[in-house]
This record gives sequence, C-alpha cells and structure tokens, in this order.
Amino acid sequence: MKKRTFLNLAGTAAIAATSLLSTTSIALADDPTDLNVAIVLSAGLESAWDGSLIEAFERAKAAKPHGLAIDWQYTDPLWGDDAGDAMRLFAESGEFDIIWAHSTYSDQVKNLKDEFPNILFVVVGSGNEGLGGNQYWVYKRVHEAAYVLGVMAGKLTKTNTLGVVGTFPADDVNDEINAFFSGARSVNGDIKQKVAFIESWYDPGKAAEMTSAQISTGADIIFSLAGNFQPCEENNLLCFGNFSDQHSFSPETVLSTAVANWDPDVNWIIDEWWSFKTDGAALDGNTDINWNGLAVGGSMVAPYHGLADRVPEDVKALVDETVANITSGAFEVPLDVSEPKSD
Amino acid sequence: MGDLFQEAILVSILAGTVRIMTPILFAAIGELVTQRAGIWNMGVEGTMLMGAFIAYVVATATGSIWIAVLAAMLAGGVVGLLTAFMTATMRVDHFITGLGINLLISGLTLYWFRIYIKGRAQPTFEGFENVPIPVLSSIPYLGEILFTQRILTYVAFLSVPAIWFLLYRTRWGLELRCLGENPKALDIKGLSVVRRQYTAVLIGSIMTGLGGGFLMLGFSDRFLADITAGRGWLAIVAIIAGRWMPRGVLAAVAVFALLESVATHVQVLGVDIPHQIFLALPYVASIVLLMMLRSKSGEPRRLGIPYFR
Repeated sequence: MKKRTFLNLAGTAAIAATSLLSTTSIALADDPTDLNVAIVLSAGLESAWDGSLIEAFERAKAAKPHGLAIDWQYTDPLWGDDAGDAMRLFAESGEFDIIWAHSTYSDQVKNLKDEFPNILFVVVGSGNEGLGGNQYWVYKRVHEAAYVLGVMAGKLTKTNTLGVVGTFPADDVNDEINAFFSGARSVNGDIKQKVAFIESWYDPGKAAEMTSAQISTGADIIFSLAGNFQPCEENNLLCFGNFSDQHSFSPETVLSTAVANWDPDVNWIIDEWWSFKTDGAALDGNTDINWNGLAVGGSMVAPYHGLADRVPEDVKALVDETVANITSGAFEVPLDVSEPKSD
Repeated sequence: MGDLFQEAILVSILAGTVRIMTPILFAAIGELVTQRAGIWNMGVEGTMLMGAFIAYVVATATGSIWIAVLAAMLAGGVVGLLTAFMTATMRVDHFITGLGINLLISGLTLYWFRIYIKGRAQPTFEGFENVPIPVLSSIPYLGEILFTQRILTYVAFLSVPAIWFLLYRTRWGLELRCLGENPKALDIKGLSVVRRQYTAVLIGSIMTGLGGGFLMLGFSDRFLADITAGRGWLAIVAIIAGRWMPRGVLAAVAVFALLESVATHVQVLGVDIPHQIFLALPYVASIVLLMMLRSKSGEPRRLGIPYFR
C-alpha cells in the first residue's frame, strides 16, 4: 500500500470513529463517566482480605464497566471512630460516589448514610447490621473452596489429623474451618481435627507457634488462615493458604489456597450505583447476607502450581469432580458457622 | 486437660516456651543495661520493629540471613543513637521520646515496606532452622527442649550471664549502675555521664534490634505492619517484674513465654475453657506481677530523670 493511500484511509477511519463517538456521547450526555470510590481498609493492603479487594478493583478499572473510568483512594487500617471520621471526610469532600468500608463498619455508616443519601455505602463481612437504603452489605464466603481443600487433605493425610490455624472465631471464618473438615470427613471417616485461633487478624509469630503446636499433636496437613508457612517448611509438610493465593510465600509447601474473588461483588455494587445514577432507581441495599459462591466466581480453588506431582491422579480427579458438582449445583456445601473446636 | 500432660505435648510446650522467649529476652536483657544507666527507653517496641523490618529487607535483597542479622543490629543501633541523642544530649523526657519513636517507626516501616514491595508479590526468604547441639541434643526431653533450637536462641540465653558479668563484675558495669543511682558521683570524678549513657542505650537498642531480627528470621515468612505485636512492651514489663536483675528478668520472660506456649497448646488440645482466657494470661500475669513486686522494687533511683549538671 502506498504511504499516501494509507494515510487517507487512516484519516477517513479516524473521522468516522470520531463522529461515531460524538454521536454516542450525545446520546449518553447525562450519564456519568467517572466513578470515584473511597475504600476504608481494616487490616492493610498486605493482608489477603484487603489486598484481594484492591486487586478486584484493578481488574474492574481495566474492564471499564459501563464505560466508567474507575478511580479509588484507600486508607491505612482504621477502626471505630477513626474509621467513622475518615468516612465523614470522604463524604464531605463530595468527591466520592461509593464509600466501601471493607469490614465491620455499619455502626459508623449508620451515622452517615441519611446525611449523604447520594453516596452508596458498602460494609463487608460478619458483625455488620443490615441497614438497607444506601448501605449495601457484601458478604464473602469461601467455605466452598475450603471444602474442596478438605477433600484434598482428607485424601492426602497419613496421620488422619488435620490442623487449622484461624484468625478470630467469626461467622465468616468458622464457615471455612467447618467446611474444610466436612470436606475431609466426606472422604475419610477417621479425621481428627485440630483448631486454634490466634485472636488477631495477623501475628505471624503466634501463627507459627499455633502451627507448631498442631504439628506436635500429629497434624500432618495445616490449613492456615493466619499465614506464615515457616513451620510447614521446617517440618516438610503440605499446607493450604487462604483468601489470596499464598503459593509464592512457600512454593515447596503451599499446595493450594481457598481464594476469595471480589469481582462479582465489585460489579454488583457498580451496577447498583449505575442504575441509581442513570435510571433513577432508588438505592435499596440488602438487609440480609448476600454472598457469591464458587459457581459465579466469588471464590475459587488456587492451582497446584509446582506441587501437582504431590497429588495422585485419583485425588486430582476427585477434586475436579467436587468443584464441578458445587459449580453445577448438584452438591451444596453445608454451611456451618458454629465455633469449631479441637478433637 | 489430661492431654496437656502427655510427654510429647509437654516437650512441645517447653520447646515453644524457649523459642517464644528468644526475641523478648534479647530486648529485655539489653534494655536492662539501658535502664540500669538511668534511661527509661519506652521505644523498645519501635526499635524491635525496625530490627524486624530491616532484617526482612536485607534477607530478601541479599539472600543471607546472617547479613540480615547484622543489619537488624545496626538498625537497632541507629534507633538507639536517636534515643540517646534525645534523652542524653537533648535531655528530653524519656517517656515522650520513646513513645514518639514507636509512632515514628510504626509509620516509617509500613511506608518503606510499601515502597520496597511496590505492588509486586512480597519477596520471601529462607529463615533460621533448628541447629541441634551435638551430644546435648540427644539427652532425653531436655535435648529437644533446650538444645534443638535456633542458633540465636542459644545466643540469647548466653547473653544473660554475659550481661550479668559486665554489670556486676567489671569496673565499667559498676560505673554504669552508678549512673542509674547517682550520676553526679561520676560527673564529680570527671567521668563522662553522656558518653556512658550513649553506650548503655546503644547496647540495649542493638540487642533489641537483634530480637526483632530473630522475630523476623526465626519465626516468620513475611513482614507485616507492626509485626512485633507488643513483644517490646512485654520486654519492659519483664525488666520491672524482674526487679532490674538479670536473673529476675530471665525468670519473668520465662513465665510470660510459658503462659503463651500453654495458651497455644490448650486450644490445639481442645480444652473446654474459652481460649481467650489463656491468650490473656501473659498480660494478666504481667499486671499481677507488677502489683506484687511494686513494694520490693529494685528500680534505679535516677531512672527516667534527665541528668542536669
């Protein structure tokens, strides 16, 4: 193609594209083009709970739902009145459409939601009150993925003793631990369970000691919700991680992870806000728990990475079958939120 | 509860106690030197945190945990220099200095950490492993409890008699203890008070940095904000509960660590008592100890009082 012909063609295409775009923008002149989100974090970017949310927002930013340019600001860990003050500052600045408070913050939202009816507030996880109106309540249950890890552990254990190191005995922590053991017992009736809570969102020192204590009582596979795989490495055991894929922390021991995926939740909230802005639909937040499971991508089981050869083929097949049954709805993982105890 | 007294569990509880003691013991025995010289260093928590953070950065950057240990000590020393400058040279209130240092380091380490990882997957490192001492580690029970530990744990325990010797059997130690009781006496003799205060703060801070380094390299696989989680404060309580004597400090640290180790195992064994009670025990014990020992305190008389000529 001659250079001039190419330029002509390119020029024509550009004009066509511009006119098309201007038509579109006229049609949607009133629709918002930007979405600004203020995020109040509870444990900090480095924690799997908070870090995985920011990753979901990054994916949403790239996907541009409704053509929106999404931007956000997040805080360092804040609780109680400090979190309330931060939310008020965000709200009064007038710059934010959504205030996403990523843990138990409904007490603080209660003081603000009526004063700022055009802001969509989000609270997340257990301990919240379903206020409705412009407060939405996102819940995260990864117990289905934990059940699958349990199936794996139940098949792989040699001592028939499994350990779980938890953070706090909260509703959305207990569900995972119970599901893990339930999965293990579904394939191995002799399972003994060991459970410990460090009573902190993170304290690697304590998590290590709890893990070592479980190993000393005979546990040979540990599902760590509190992180720190150092004792697993030292004892050359397989371990499971939680919430965000923990493989990189210990490639030789972390077989898989019960991964939380916030994408369906982020998209749900963006859609609600979009309807409110464009169709004039009232903000009508949920008052009951609303969670997205394995079937819709709200959680997933992390790949084996380099440890696939530690899992026999029949176990892999069983794991795939369990995931397929949960996804198709043929099997429903029992939800048990009672506080688990050691056998 | 019966399970608690099985041999394997008892050994695990006691071996855990020795491990948990290590970072607190480094800080407590080091800060004992500082306090005997009359400086109330309230910045132990921050100093330990700085040691842990620098150990993490250096371990992941160089791949050598021994260079990381040295760096943690150096980092503790730098914080110590700041503490000494504020308390000995500028004669600022010791408590305010310490609290300021804790806040500064808590924020600074998180800020630096974010810059260091810059959104990439958090780099990891190979930490310390147990090094059994030949012969001794094969003694039944005791071998597993005392002689199958990390190298730095042995160092921490050896530092107790070493510090005792320095404080009570050398002229340097006598002068240092005199600083905490009557600094004027040294001043009148023409001996530098400020120089000795700097030395005392540096020894304490370097050992505290080492404790932080151990917490990182011997306990954890990652850095997290405020990873020290109150261990620096426990070190201070241990000094008070130990009545400012090396033996007492060792005993106090041992009690805290034993209670924590018991709390850890109780949950795993499924004892029918709320586990939160056990987790609170070290802190309850520290308050009880402080109340009981207050009357028989061996507190240096000039502790925490800036020295003016």
